[in-house]
Amino acid sequence: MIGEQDELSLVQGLRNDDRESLAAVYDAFGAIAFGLALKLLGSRTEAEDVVQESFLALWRQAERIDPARGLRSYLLSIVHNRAVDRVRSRARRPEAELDLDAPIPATTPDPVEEVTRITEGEAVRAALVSLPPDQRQTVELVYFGGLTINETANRMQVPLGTAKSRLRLALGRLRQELGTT
Amino acid sequence: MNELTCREIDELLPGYASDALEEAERCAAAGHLAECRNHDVELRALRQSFAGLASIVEPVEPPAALRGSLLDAFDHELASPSPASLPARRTQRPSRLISAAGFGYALAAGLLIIAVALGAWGASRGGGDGAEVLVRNNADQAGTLQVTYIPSQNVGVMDYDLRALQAGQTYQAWHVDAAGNPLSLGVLAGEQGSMSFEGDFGATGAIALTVEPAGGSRAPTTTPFLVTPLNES
Repeated sequence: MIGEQDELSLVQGLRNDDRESLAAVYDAFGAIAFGLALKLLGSRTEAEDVVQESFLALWRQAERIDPARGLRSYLLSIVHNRAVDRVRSRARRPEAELDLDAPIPATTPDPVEEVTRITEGEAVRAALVSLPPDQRQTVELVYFGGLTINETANRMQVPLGTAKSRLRLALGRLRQELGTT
Repeated sequence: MNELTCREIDELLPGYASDALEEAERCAAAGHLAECRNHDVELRALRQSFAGLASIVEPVEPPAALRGSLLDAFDHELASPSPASLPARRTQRPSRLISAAGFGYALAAGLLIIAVALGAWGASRGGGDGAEVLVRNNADQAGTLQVTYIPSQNVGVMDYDLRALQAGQTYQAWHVDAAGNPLSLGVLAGEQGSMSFEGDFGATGAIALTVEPAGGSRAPTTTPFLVTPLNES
């Protein structure tokens, strides 16, 4: 676990092109970054590419990192963006098929739980589960499926306005539940 | 797309924060948000909520080799601030690229050609084009690239369909100004797809693609190809 002070010093290290800082950030967040990329892409090879690209991008963008936002959040946004780009790029190919039918499970399918539960993760999971099913599925298709709102509307066979409205309501509820300011 | 009002942006904001808009909408929204501060707080909160969803993802231990590969790529990029000092590559490049020993010269030559060509185009334009949306197409044996750029909003989209790369390589897009200075616009996701970009380029310079080591580079390390001038008439 990286403390606030350590994080500041790691951001500074990245800005100074310090190899050890990059290694430390990878050691701290490599597994969650890989888990997210794998969740979106379903391919270990592609997930590896995305993770490596994302850490390098984090280093290149170090000057722009707002320490108040947190390294983890910044990194995972990069990972998500890059994985979504790949999902969409893949979707443009006729032979590609996205496996989006199964929404995210409420609990991990892996019986081996992490020793330390992340409180934030539990809170987010609870907030997500508390959403009406339509809103939950909308936000899942967008976040974990990498779909646009148009694609989400098609997938759920609802008008575009309905999908937009569900996404808005879902993010509003998540924000409320999580106390995001 | 016409310029959007603040009310319309508020409607688009959840989709924008979730990166779930279609490219045209995204570009239009990005143009507005780049100049209007009315939405900053709401956008930040929406992004935070959306990004928070990553918390429920179970960490998965990446392959042990990935750490070394990342640090190798870091070392490689750090050691090559200028193309001329790059070491030899581990991976073989496609035939359209030159050898590691010669690429520094070729890159400089390539950028010089671009700069000269841009200067010539600029001189021949004879005044502003007044275009609101620039659409530029380019194609050769390496593939096809369409660049759509809106100078007034500093946003654009690249649609590309390129030849397959070898493992460990990636395509990277650059804006090259009239003096030949490259600015990275980002790494392309695969060989086919689209990527948005932002930048205040006016109708000057060119969009160029290069092949780079996975993860991209700070400066081009190979000769640019599919160089697409923004000011092409």
